[in-house]
Amino acid sequence: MNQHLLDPSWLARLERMQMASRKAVSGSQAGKRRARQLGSSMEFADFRAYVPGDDLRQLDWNAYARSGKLFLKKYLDETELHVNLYIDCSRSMSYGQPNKMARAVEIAAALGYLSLCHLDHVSVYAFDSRITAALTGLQGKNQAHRLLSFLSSLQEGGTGDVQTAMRQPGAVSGKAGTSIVLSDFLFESGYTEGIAYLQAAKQEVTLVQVLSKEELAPEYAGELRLIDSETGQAKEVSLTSPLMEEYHKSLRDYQQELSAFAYGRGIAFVSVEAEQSLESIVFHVFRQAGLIR
Amino acid sequence: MQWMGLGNLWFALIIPAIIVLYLLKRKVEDRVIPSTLLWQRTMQNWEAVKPWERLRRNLLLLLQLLAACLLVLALIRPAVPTEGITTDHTILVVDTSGSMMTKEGNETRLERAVSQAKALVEKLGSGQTMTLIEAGREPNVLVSKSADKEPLLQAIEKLAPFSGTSDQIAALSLAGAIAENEPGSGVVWMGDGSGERKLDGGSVPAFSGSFQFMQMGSTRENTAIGVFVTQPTEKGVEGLLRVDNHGSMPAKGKVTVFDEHDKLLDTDSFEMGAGSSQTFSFQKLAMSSVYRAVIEPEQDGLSQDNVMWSVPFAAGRGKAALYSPEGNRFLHQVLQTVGSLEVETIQQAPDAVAAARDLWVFDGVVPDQLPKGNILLIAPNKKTEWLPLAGEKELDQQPRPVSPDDPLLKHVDWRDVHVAKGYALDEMPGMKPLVRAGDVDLVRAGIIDGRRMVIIGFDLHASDFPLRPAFPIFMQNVVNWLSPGQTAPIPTAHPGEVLTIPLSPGATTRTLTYPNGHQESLTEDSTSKTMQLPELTGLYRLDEGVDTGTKSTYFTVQMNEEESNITPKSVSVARKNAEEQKESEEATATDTTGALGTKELTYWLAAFALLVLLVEWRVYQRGY
Repeated sequence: MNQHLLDPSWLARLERMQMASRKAVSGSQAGKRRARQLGSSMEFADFRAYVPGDDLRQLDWNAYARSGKLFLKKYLDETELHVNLYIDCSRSMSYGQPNKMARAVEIAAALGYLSLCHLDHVSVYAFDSRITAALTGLQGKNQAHRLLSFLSSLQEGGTGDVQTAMRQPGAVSGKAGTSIVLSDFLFESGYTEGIAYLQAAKQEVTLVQVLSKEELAPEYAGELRLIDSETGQAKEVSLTSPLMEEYHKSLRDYQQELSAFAYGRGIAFVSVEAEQSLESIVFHVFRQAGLIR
Repeated sequence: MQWMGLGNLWFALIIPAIIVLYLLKRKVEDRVIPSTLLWQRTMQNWEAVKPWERLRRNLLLLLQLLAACLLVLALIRPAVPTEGITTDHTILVVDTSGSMMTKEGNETRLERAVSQAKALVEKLGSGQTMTLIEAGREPNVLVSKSADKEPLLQAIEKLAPFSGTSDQIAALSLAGAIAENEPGSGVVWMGDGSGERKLDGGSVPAFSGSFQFMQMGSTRENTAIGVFVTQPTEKGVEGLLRVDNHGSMPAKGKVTVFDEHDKLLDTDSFEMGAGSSQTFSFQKLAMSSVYRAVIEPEQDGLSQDNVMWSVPFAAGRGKAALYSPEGNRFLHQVLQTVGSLEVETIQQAPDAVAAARDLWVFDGVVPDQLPKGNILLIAPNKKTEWLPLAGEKELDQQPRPVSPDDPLLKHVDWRDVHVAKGYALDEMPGMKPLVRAGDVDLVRAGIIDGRRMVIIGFDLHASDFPLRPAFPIFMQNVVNWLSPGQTAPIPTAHPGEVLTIPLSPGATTRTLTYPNGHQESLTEDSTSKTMQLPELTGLYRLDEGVDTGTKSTYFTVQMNEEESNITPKSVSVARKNAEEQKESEEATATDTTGALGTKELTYWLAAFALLVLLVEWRVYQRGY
């Protein structure tokens, strides 16, 4: 296990959490997740009177012995969840202290680890303008080391484009599940269609925007030619405080657009700062947002 | 607004210099950032929403330019006109000439000048002094260098217009001389500049210090009587009247002629264009010793020139008495010819109380006592109390005029005249020699005892003078001079002028009545009175008690015709530059470098520039 990705001291705490999702499926393998529908798990749900046709295996013989009436004992079904983690590996993610990419990887590690602990299926995709690396079909806590070593091997790459990346073959698993996109969402070509595509593939989507302090509160001054790390586009600005205010306004507007888009499509949206500690992101931000419980 | 130091304008080059430096300084730093997406959106909003906000990008540059502009402005020393007086010592000259009586609105120009002058006095600061000069016929210093407002205000209050023309040159010279002696002096001239004697360049000494002309007039509309003369003819009295419109608009009105008892004699109306004149001729006016013409124009600036009197001009005949015991055919003949005299030949010397004559001619006799009237004395062969006769002398030299320019010797040619002997006279006070042969004065003329007298110091029979063309000409001159005014009307005079009033010889009482009714008895026992007229226009009457009763002579004193042209003009003087004495510049009414008028804004501008610099420093600190 890669020690630097997840602090062992709070792994136990992490194991007690689980992903909140409506997209759990009843699969061939029983997951550790309690399903809403009644099923075959050990979890007791209810009693009801026997009606002909019911599975005789579910009759409560003890109750019959005492009362002579046939009661059916109901148990909740156990389901499994497909968790897909998308990590933006474009060059813009390599900024911040620690950089956004590293923070996103850590978040993915934490979420992946707790999903594995609940016997969910976990897939990890790294993308820029295409899927650069993928690790799919992990299940069980014993797969955690595979997940972490895969995550540690990720490198930031080229220009980010979620639109084209999501349409690539193999970018989306066929099974319904929950998809978490970790990105800064600063895509030149936009993000709406890519996310919508993801949603169309029966995914419950969660957007986690990771922004660095450099983006949230730039501390530039003077006459600057700002060069885009991905596209190389330059923008000359002379930074004055009214312009700074205008930048903050643009930033707020952009985040509002993003969250309005998410809200409109029933997508969860969380914005985190790369400089925040992982612990506070997971236990405070995600919990408050209802992503995990 | 004017610029006192325009020569410093080249400092304005600092403005392009700042811009160049700014462009050179402006270095763009390259910086790679994660994404310019947000910046693109920022700039889009920025440029779209607030185009003027782009200027804010260079707030520092703008502030620097503003500070530089202010400093350059301060260097070229702008000045604005101010109300108060800025010089330490102000020489206030107030024009009180006739045109200042022009009414503008509810007050006359002089009243306006008075109120403005009082306002100036009220604004005198501590340490500031003022000298008040009235630019009258002669400049008159009313208050000299006083810091005390009370006497100044009193003197200004007393200023009154006079009907004459002010002597601008003298007033300016005086003011200039005072300014020259007092460093820190400035001249303020309050007047309308119209009517005044023209200032020709160089006649006024240039003076250092400021000069400010405060124009008191604005209108130029005035209609005046230019000429009014009356003349008796066989059919009655004819009058000729000229009405002048000095204004820039057509004038119309009514003209009326009255007699001495204010009885209306004739009336007419006039209508004429701008700057033109109209002449009226009145026929068969009823007899009167004086006529008064009045015009009533519809719009008029100056009312003082709407009345004019006229005394009918009649070439009267003077009375002359010739006393020539031995008879003189030449003399008798020439007196009949020259002048307009009734010549009476008398047979015995007149006594002291004898009837007055305009001219006495004594030929070959000398009266013991001088009779009343002017005297022509020929061949004075007797020594008397008043005639210092030295004796008779043979003459061997040609007569030679001593003062050929004298009016008595005009056109008289003495070259062909020969005189055999003459009477030498000792020095006589009041008489001056006109013609001389050797050391004998042949002709003397002058005033003795209030009379005009000409002495021809030789017997006409002892010379060929009567046979020469010079004789009648000389006699004409002599008779004209000896009977100057008694037969001709007294000419129209201007106020304040020196006028010689001919008096009737032998009058017992003489009373001069002024236009305002004031009467003055004249005690002169001479043939004329020279007096300086008061500043009073109108009709003067001289009543003389003579043996035939009371003889009234009229004369009129009228405003100078120039004063009727009330068009405001500016007064300008040559100015001596304090630094460069030789270089003189023109100061005109629009020149506000005067004593009033200039408050330099340099210090304010400099202070403001400093303020801008502070703001700039603050802006730089806060990193806008």
